Amino acid sequence: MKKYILQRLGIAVVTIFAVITLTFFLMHMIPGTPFTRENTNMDADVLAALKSNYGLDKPLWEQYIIYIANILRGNFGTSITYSNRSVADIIKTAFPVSADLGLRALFIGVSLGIALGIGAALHHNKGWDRFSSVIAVIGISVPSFIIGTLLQAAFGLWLSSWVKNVFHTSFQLFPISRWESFRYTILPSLALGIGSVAIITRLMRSSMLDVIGQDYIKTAKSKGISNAAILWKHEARNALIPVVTVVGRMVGSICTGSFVIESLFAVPGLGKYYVNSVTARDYTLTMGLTIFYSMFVVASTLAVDILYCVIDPRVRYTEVGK
Amino acid sequence: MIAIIEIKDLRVSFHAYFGEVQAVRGVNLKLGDGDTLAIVGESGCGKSVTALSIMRIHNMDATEFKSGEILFDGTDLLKISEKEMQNIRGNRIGMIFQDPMTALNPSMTVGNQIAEVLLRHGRSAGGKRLSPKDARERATELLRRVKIPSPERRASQFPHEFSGGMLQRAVIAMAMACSPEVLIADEPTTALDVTVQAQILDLLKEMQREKRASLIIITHDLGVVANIAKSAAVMYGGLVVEAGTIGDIFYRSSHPYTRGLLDSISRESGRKNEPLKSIEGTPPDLVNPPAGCPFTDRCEYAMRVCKDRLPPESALSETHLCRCWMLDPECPLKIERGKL
Ligand SMILES: Nc1ncnc2c1ncn2[C@@H]1O[C@H](COP(=O)(O)OP(=O)(O)OP(=O)(O)O)[C@@H](O)[C@H]1O
Ligand SMILES: [Mg+2]
Repeated sequence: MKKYILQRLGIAVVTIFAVITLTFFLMHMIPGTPFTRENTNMDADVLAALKSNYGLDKPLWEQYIIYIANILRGNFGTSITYSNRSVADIIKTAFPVSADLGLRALFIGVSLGIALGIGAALHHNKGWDRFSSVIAVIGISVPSFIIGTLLQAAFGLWLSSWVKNVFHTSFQLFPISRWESFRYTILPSLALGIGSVAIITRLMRSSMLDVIGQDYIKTAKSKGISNAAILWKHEARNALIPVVTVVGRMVGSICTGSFVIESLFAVPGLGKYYVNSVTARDYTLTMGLTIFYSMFVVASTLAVDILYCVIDPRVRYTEVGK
Repeated sequence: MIAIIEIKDLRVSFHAYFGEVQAVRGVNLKLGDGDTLAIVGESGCGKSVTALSIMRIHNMDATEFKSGEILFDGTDLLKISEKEMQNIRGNRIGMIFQDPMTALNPSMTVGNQIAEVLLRHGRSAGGKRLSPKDARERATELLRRVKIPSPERRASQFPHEFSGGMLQRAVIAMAMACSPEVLIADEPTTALDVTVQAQILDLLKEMQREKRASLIIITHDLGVVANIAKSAAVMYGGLVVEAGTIGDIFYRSSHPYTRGLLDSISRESGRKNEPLKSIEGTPPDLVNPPAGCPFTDRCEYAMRVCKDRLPPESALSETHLCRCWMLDPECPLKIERGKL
């Protein structure tokens, strides 16, 4: 097990290094500089001064080496567009918000998805199954910004105007923008989570149906144990194994921010910074966020693989045997 | 003979999207107390469905018990509630399945899976429910009893760490854990290596004797029947076409299908060079089963009546039953019992 984890860590370091290198050169291949957008006919001297200030006048390979050296010292540099803020500082303030939103969405996705999936499998081809497959189709095919907009229309427009008419107050139970208290988190989490609800529902359903047809379920029944024990100890537990992998893959992407949902609901998360940094050629910020993102994804993948070993004994033993 | 299980006119159908599969179409069977009954017949003739019906562990949504009774110790198992059925499963009737490699939950240790049935039904000497620790200990004892080496270590292993033969031993231990009165074994050796088949059969016999259980064994293998069973039922197309003692079936068989089965296994040395006979054709479609005898199309003695009407069960002796028009008193084709 230890050897396996060390090996995986080694691969992770190589992966991240490759991501850094690729992003670095790809970023610099995009035409334009961080300064072109504000003023197209900027004075050449000013531009040169700015460039040398950020070290952008040096040859690319030299910039690359300097950058790598800085990273190894834990220095991700300062943002070019948000000129007085360091990349680390931006991550420190914005990431917790994104992760909070992401985890809430994931929680909705996992709990609702598993429940709907189990229900659908137990009522195979009946009302409940049909209902959950409609949810799944909507969740997969309708983009989250449409769902988000619909939620905003429903709660921000229709519900609040109804509340205003009936109760004569402008109180909003589920506000449609900003990120302040629990009430504020409901709609964006729902909008972000509905896609994963759909994915997990479908997966859990097919996985459950597969397990229910297995011989060992007949064996379990032949022991006379209760239906609840069969469902939880034998069916759901085995059906969850493939779901864990998928959920694990989701953690990385869902927690590092969704530009669309974050801008729609004015959530001050990472997504906004990420997208803006690319359009503004904010090299340091893009690089810093990319590295952070890939480390996060790699770490969560590793965590899932370890968790996988815990829940699926077949994996556990083959790995140990190696 | 006191019957511990008596199946009367059992009819079971499955509702599939393409229609109603009439898997069992009026089966009568009797298992004597302490006896071993073998059910034989080729693939798809309804052996497993009959056995599963005793335990009522089909997928109940699609399954319909159209008629019949399954009397177990006087109680009709088709009438009692699911709760009462759960008290019987694993406790008074145990079941062993064909493929041990898939019969156990892959993510639960073998010891825990045996302990599970003990926790559900087992009682200590004082009549109290077992503690998890006691259940684990008994599970280990059972593994020792079925001759699994180092049972303590094995109990905490997962199914994939066992060989097929070892797993089938564990499955037998599990089915026998609560000393059931009846054990149903659905092709318990088919999936195993030839070399371990005999060992598993011996173990089954031994456990049956020790726990004084009655046994229903489903098999394709007439060698197994001769080895272990006292009586046998031959199934074809969802029906029992012939039933009797081992002697009735092997030496006095009266149904052309039973004869065909016997001819398809190798016999004594003198006839070694003769090619094995096989029965031409395929079993009937159970979605639209024939009105008459299901074997008509493959039977060399088929008459017109065979196609139109299902032959009744004729009693040839107290133990011997057969469904064939040739046994009808009015049949012109007179046959002697056991000689076709
Ligand atoms: N759940 C089900 N749904 C639909 N049809 C089924 C179902 N289970 C069994 N059948 C059908 O019922 C018939 C009898 O099946 P059964 O499993 O009893 O055969 P068997 O005699 O045990 O054969 P084998 O020797 O292959 O195990 C088959 O035609 C099978 O296709
Ligand atoms: Mg079968």
